[in-house]
Amino acid sequence: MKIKAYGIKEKGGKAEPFYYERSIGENEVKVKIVYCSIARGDVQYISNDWGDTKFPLVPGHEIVGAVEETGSNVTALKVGDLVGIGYQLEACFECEFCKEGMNNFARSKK
Amino acid sequence: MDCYGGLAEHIVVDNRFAFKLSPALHSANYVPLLSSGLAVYTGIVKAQLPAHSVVGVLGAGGLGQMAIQFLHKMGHKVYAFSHSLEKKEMINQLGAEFILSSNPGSLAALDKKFDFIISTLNVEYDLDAFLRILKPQGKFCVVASPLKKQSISIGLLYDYAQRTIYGNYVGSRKDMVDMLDFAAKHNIESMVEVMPFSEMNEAIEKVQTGAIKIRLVLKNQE
Repeated sequence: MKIKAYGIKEKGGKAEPFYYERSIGENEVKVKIVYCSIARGDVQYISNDWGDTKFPLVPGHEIVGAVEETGSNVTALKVGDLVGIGYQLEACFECEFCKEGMNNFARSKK
Repeated sequence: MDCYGGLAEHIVVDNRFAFKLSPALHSANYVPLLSSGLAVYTGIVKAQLPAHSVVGVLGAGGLGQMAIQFLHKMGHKVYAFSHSLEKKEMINQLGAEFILSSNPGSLAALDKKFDFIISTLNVEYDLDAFLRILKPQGKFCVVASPLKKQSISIGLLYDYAQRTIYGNYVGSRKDMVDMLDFAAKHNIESMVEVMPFSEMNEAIEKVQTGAIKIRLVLKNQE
């Protein structure tokens, strides 16, 4: 499935339409975005202030949207639910940190 | 960060990181809770503060304004340090007393007064001076960082003081759920300017140049 995003191609560049391929895993949901903030941190990534930005960059880590599709294992959310999404998008749910409920320390995360 | 963010028509995420929002949190003023709110709330909760603690917030921008509200609604006595005298009224309205941090005498008079300080500053500052105003065993939490390395007198963490420094950026899933519940119950929101997706580059420039003093949220019209 093709996702339409707005990407920055190079340091300090402008946001322009950018498409990428993404499938929906069994535990995942596809969310139609309603709000996305632009924070100081986003701008620092765009200008590569920390020296670790990978381009193309799609900024935005405070997101609100409506669930549009759900993976086969998803029961907690249904189509139409308004959800908030923050900095962390995934965790492994398998490592020692995740098992203690500390998903923010996951060995494998995004 | 090696994945694509929210400046898009859609995003695909693990359902365990998409948090259902109560109707109380549906407006644009609550969008900054999702990262800024989580960072400050989790940083505060980690300190395990006793009731009615004396606490300080460094910086009164997006993160600082949120930290003031959370700490105030938790029942603590909040002081906010800022260089901007024009922010005094707003800081008072959010529930904190204002301290002008550019006045050199203001810190010396506060020796060992604070149980907890949270720093939202992304510019260089005198870390030692703020460690000194923490009580023995007081805690200093950083939720933002200057681009340059900061120096610190390690001795300020020794006996007779035993202060702790730690950082916080995100939180666990439980922290997020707790934070959203607390924010809904106590109506913790951000001052935001809403702009349409069609003006995203103007919006980015506004944040880049500092032309906007409140948080900026883009609304997707499609």
